[in-house]
Amino acid sequence: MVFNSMTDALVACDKDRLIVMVKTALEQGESADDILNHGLIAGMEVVGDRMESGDMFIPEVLMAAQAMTECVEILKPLLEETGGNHAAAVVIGTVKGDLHDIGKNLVAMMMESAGFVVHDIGVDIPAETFIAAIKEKNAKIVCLSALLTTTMPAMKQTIDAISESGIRDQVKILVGGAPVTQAFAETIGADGFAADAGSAAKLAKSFIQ
Amino acid sequence: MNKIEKIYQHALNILSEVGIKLKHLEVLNILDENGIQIDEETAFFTPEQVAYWISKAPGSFTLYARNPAYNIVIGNQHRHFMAGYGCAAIYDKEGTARDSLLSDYICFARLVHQCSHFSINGGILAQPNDVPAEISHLIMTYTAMMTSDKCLMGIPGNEDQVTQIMEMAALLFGGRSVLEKTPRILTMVSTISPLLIDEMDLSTILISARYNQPMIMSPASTAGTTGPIDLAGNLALSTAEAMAAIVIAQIIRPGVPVVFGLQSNVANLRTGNISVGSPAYSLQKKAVCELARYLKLPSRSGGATTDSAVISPQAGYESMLSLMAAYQNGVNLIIHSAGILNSYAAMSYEKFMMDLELMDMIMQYEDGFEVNDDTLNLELIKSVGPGGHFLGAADTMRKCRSHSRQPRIGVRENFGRRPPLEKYFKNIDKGLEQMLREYKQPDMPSDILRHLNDFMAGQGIPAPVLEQLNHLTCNLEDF
Repeated sequence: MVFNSMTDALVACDKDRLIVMVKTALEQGESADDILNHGLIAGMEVVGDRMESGDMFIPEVLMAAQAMTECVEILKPLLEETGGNHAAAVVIGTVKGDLHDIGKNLVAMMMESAGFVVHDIGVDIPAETFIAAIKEKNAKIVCLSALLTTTMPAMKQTIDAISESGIRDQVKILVGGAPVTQAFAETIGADGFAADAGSAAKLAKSFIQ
Repeated sequence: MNKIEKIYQHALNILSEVGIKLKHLEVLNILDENGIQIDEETAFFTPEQVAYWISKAPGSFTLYARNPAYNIVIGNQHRHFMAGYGCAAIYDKEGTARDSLLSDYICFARLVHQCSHFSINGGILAQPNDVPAEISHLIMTYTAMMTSDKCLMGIPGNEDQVTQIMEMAALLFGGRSVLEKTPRILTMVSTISPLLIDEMDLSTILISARYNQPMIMSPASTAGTTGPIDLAGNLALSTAEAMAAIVIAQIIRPGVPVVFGLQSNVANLRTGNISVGSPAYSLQKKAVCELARYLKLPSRSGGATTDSAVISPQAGYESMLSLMAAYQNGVNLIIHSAGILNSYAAMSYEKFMMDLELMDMIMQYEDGFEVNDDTLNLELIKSVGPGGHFLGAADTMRKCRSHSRQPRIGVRENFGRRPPLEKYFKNIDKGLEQMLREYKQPDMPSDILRHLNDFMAGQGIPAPVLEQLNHLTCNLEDF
């Protein structure tokens, strides 16, 4: 029941209520792991579905995600104590030459809400920075973003560089952005394409499971 | 002399030099008694007579509804949408035609009742082909009265038919003396261009005026067929016909409310049919408004009209031009604002929904936007800063539903799996279904209902038929 209520609070973007619920659940003996997985992540799945169906607007989804982030901060020390958080690492960034980041930020947020540990390395990112981040964070998933048709070739260059560096088999590569299509993703050797933030998170989860 | 004055002067010349043929002996006698020159069936009006009698008509008037929340002022700066009127067919999504039925009339009356864009219901929302023509005016009027408590459109007819409708309105609104004091039922009068008014429409004027009920004088001369091919000449002809009808009404009952309602069309001279999707049609609406203002009368024109026989890009852009032209130019009564396809040949449920969206859009456009400290909000811009974004700002979150108008049926999310057009029609079906599901019949006081039922029984329509009428449902499967 308490987990259902957390979903309601997330959908209502009610951060204060959610924080109270998380604290109360901890006091009542629920584990941080259960609260994270059955309360917050399950709740954000509903938020993601509602975003996809158009029932929730993007600013509302962002507010819900922010509320979740604050709750995760409360849970973090406890998760570390129990060694509970085994979430996969994601490296995400906008490729070299492109300064656009709203879409990339939305994907990062939805990935985070789905339970991934997301490392957002920013915009205008050269291939070598992606490679370094993958190695450093031991990432299982890499997300490349581009809004401009002129920077789409940088996606291929980044994937090629990842292959040349010998870590291609270690990661799944997802690409996205307004001009990107499934066909383009296949052409440049990406593992997947997502048209929106919700489906990007779903796709990432399917790669991990 | 500006363009409008020239058209007006030309219309006066038409009425004094060519005259207008009137197929109604009593009306001709009344005109004769009031000093109008009559030659057999043709009446000739001097410019002074026209100006004198038109000056008797009010510049604006309130149309009263059963529910006072729907009372509206017709005239001045007020603009009102009205649904499609007068069609005898229904087109489906593919443009396939069928006869319109009583169930369609009921459905459209319910849809009009449900939609906040409309304050007026009834009239000929769709001609019920399954009802004998001799009594269809009774059935339609009764249905409109039972279905909705908004303002009412009447139906033109012979003297007996219009009297029956007026008597029904009297029963609904508290008796004839009450009815005569306030405009309650608005009836459309059409001329037969060029320069002829038949017995039915003159009877409609005669009876409506005697009951002091408002009329829309609506010549529809069509440039190239029933009117001169030049728009100036066509407008002048329509103006002459409307002015003649208004003078007649004012002579019968000085002060009876009238609307200057030119429906001046243009012809598609490849076929001879009218063309209501053309810019020339919209252009004439602009002139109608200016002429009405010049004459100090309320105006009327067509609304979301198209020559397309099916929901299509053509239907969309033609309807938008036509509706926008009417609204922006300040037409007081914008008839045919929802549902019309194929140059008035048919009503369409899908088009009705599409046109509601056009109205939503136009009204939002007309609303404009506010400029003040709150809407400029420097603090917000400071907090986001260069290179940030406003998507996650609390201000955006707070206003995202009120400020980001979502289309009623339009598709914006085009990255899904469903083809956009399929989704568009699904949204239409969903919208229709929701409006009809949420419809609630307004209460009708039992004594009025009894009087109306007794009246209908007196016209040969027995209670079981009325009972059946009240339980007819809108079957979405039939669409």
